[in-house]
Amino acid sequence: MQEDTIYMIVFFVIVGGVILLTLWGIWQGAQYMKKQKNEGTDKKKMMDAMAKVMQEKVGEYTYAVGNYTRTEQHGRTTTYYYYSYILAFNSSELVIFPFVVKDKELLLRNCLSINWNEVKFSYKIGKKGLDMTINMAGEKLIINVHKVRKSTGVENSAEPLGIYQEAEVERLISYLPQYKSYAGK
Amino acid sequence: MKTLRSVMLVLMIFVGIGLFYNGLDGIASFKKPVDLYAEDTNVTELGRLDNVEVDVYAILDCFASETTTTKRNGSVTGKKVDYYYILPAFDGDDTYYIGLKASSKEHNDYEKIADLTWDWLEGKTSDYGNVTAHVNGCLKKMDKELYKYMKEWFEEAEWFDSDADIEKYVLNVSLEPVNFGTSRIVFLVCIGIMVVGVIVLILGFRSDGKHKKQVKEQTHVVINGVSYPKASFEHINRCILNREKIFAVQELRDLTGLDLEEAQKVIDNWNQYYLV
Repeated sequence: MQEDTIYMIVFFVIVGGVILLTLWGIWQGAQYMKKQKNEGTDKKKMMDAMAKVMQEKVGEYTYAVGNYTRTEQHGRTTTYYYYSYILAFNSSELVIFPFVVKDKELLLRNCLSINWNEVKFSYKIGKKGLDMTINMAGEKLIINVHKVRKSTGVENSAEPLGIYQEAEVERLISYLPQYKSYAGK
Repeated sequence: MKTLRSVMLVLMIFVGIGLFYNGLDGIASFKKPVDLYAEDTNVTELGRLDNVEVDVYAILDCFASETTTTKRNGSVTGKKVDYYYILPAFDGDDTYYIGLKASSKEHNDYEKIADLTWDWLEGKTSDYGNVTAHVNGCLKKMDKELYKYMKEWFEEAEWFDSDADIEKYVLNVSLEPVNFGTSRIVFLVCIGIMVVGVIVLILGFRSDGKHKKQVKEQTHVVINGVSYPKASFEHINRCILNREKIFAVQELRDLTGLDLEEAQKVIDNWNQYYLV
């Protein structure tokens, strides 16, 4: 067998392998989301976690999951930062919980109850959902909240939870003008 | 400080390479020149670190040439030819032979000296003539191939009676011209950079050690005159490491009761409060 033929075969095996792996990943993600549509296990996981935390909070809250991904480049090193958030909200309040999923457990890392007098708030509504930006302490907190929070089911990823949340996002969108009117004074 | 140390380290590597190639010439540049043809000079005792000068009046022959071609993108951009001649040197009444490196510039002069030398050797003239060339440089060991060519020249010329004489009188060194003025400056600059580099590294490591000790000893964080256990701020530190400044500010406010502006100032200068 000629050397060129061997290189050709190796090339096609590598490229084919990568394509197959990608297709397998996409299929796995689709299967995971199909399961979430039927059973909603991630949504239940999120609601259970929030039920424990929000016991002491007075008032009705709706919950949605958002995320944000950004990259930082220092020289030749690029660092990816993935942030996942649960938003607890009603017509006047917005509480943000950054979270991670570890060993299938949902761990809330922090809690930020937005004081509208201290922030500037902006948002953009699109087909998929909304992107909101909260400016506070000289920093921007960007959260993308989509109607379908797609996930591959991989815990340590930007989207550890797969959730269908169209009604929740619609409700959040209906509150946004109110938030905006509180903020940025 | 760490960036400066990294820069210094890279610089020191380059300077180290420079010293490796130029260091011995640099050391020789500080020595008093030794006249190769002075009566009390013994060529076999001269070493790599000696500053050797000589007025060359006799040369046997050119035994090798070395061509260095520089190519860029396939096309030749430069060509340098070095010639190696046989130079007699002495220890008392004994005559030894060493190499003499010459560039294309010196090539013609050395050829002329070699012709005059052969005229004298063949009895055509009564002396070597009055053409000389001044060389100032160092005795450097030749590579195996060059030394082999030099010995082959003596074999072919049947200059000596035996191979043992070739081994004895044909020395494996070559006098190579050195610009000692430049070598001295380069050497001093390199040594200067090395010294500064070593000082920067030592100071850096000492500062690191001091900082580590301070980190170890810090049990409380003082903010606006109030002391807080350091452990209670671990979560804030994690937020900062995770580039979540807003959450860090919020957490700090919850723990300390600072207002937004004060908390923001503390978080902006977090390393001054919380040592890591």
